Amino acid sequence: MKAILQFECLKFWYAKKNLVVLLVFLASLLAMITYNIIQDNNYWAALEVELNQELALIQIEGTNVHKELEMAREAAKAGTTPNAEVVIAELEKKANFLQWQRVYCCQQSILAGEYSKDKAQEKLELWIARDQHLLNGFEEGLVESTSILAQSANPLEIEERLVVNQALLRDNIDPLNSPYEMTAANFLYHLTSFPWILIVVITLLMLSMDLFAEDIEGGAYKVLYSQPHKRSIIHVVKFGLNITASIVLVTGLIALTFGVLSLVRGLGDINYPVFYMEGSYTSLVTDPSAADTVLPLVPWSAYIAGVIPIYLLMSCFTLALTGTASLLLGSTANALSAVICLLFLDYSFRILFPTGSSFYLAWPFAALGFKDVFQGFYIGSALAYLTLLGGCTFLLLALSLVVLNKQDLKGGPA
Amino acid sequence: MGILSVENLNKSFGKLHVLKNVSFTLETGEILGFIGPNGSGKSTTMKCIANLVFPESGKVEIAGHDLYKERSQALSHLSALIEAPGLYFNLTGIENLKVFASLRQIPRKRLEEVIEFTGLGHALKKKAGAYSMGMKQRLALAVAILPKPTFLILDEPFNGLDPQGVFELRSMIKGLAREGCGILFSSHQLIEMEKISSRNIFIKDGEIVSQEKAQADVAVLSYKLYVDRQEQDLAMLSKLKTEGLLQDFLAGESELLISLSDITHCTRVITTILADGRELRGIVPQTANIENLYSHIYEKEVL
Repeated sequence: MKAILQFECLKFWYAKKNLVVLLVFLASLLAMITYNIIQDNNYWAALEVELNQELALIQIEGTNVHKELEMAREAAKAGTTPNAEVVIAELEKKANFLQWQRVYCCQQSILAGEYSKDKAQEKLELWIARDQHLLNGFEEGLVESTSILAQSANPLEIEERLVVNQALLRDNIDPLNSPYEMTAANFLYHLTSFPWILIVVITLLMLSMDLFAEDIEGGAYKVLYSQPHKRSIIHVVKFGLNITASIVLVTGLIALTFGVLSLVRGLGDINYPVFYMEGSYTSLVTDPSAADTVLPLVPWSAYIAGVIPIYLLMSCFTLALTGTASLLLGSTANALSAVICLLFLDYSFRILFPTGSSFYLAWPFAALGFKDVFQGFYIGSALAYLTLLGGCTFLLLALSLVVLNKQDLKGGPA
Repeated sequence: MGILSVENLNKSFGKLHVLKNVSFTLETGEILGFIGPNGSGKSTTMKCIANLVFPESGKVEIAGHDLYKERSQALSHLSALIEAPGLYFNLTGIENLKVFASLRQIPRKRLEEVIEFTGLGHALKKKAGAYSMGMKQRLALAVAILPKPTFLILDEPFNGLDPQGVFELRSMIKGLAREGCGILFSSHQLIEMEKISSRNIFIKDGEIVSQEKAQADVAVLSYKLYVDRQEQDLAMLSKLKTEGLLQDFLAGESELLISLSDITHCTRVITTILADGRELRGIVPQTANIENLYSHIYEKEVL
């Protein structure tokens, strides 16, 4: 065991490929941060443009309602409409509602044009006021389905935004400049969301794609497996070391980036509210009615604590899958292609199957979007995916052990 | 004392029965040449002994340890270089040696000896993938002898080596044998095998062909006749062959080369040729060398 461990450690250490992969991983994290910083810097300018467009459309809607109101009043004077007073009252209510929305939107647009961090509280109060007013409008039937107000956000989304802003105000938490602001905490939140998590997954598969294929391609397996060491020991050491080293190195680099970001751009508030599906770790399936209600909020730190087990198991699953593909296919390129194909399949399935589909209960890659799992997008809960990932990892390791123990070893350069 | 005993090895790949009751032994300090054309089962036999391929039946004992019951003890005596050099091409030569040395916890002093043996000098700092075939072969040989094995398998070890390399390898193999290492080796370079091996075994279509029988057979067909060529040759030779007097014949541009199937037929064949008014240009006695054995066993005359 010691000899094999030393052998694998030396091989891992000497392989420049692993160093290159880790450097590319670090560069990808930096690219992700840069992209988000650019988005963050442009956020308020883009929002101002968006709000101005919305304002213009609200104004047009308001003008139309006023015209309808004039016509209704004229009709009432002429006595041609039987329930003219009711119609006029509704139109007046609607016109009043739109007028207020126009005022809120105008205020938001002005604030967006001159936004700075010290106006965070003002922003929260304004957004809360407008969202409350908008929700009331929806409840009272003042927002038509064709209205710009209905198209920009549905009541559930508005309610979610409202709940978060209220929590921020209540708990005196500084709101993020934008959803893209790269505080250390928000960086980690983004990295655990699809598709950014693919950076981690692809790095892991690059680290393990040659786990067995490297021995086969160079013919070194003939030396390795003719040594007085059991194949099962070689299997355990290979997977054990690869899984441990890859997770430690990747997590270490994430931690390093997190540390540097917290020094450069601030840690962010660790109590920042994040939506979280209750019962993620106590039941296997999500409550279907939860999709129509606002989820409870948990502090960011609690969310990350919930993410860690699923991150670790997803990493183990990815490494076991790639390592097994490397053994079965006997080629680094084929193993890489096979797993990339699976990731493409995952992307296709996300388009093909609705989020509530029971298909996702049998598809371990669904858990790639940790945020989605914890927010109940899929039928499976975090516990269900932990079970699925754990089971799949175990099966893959068992399969590769059986294959390695039973199969004749061949291949390599002729 | 036997370092290797192989008994009734059988192996099939799908419907192809590649090893049929392969049995042989190897003594301590013996160099056993393992001969056969491509696809005859040499490498599969070697892979079975090195525990890379599992036979369907049969028994392999290395230094008295059953390979399938006392795997670790058996394999601790073995080192193998089978087919192409098995290396990590993304690592340098020295890194390859260090990595493989760790597998058997080889002491630093031995590692330095083997580094010296490779003769690769500064090239050891280059990636093995950039090596020529000969350099790869030298490095792979160095890996094979790292643990000072008592039983060494060498499959085509001369491949890619320059004449100096062949000379060095030959003396290395002999030196290892003198130190008591049993060596099973195969090569298509029959002349080299003849120079090195103390004994040869032949494998044909997955079966070991008796070496004693082959040698006896070749000793009998030990004359070749060179005769003037004429138009009516074919009729005469076919008649002699039908009568069982010839083993085979080869028609050149100006002469015939006739192999006798039995020395006792020599007088009769010569008489027939001379009676036909032909000139006998020469009679060449054939010794039972390895090429003739090979030709005899695999039914292809080497002329």
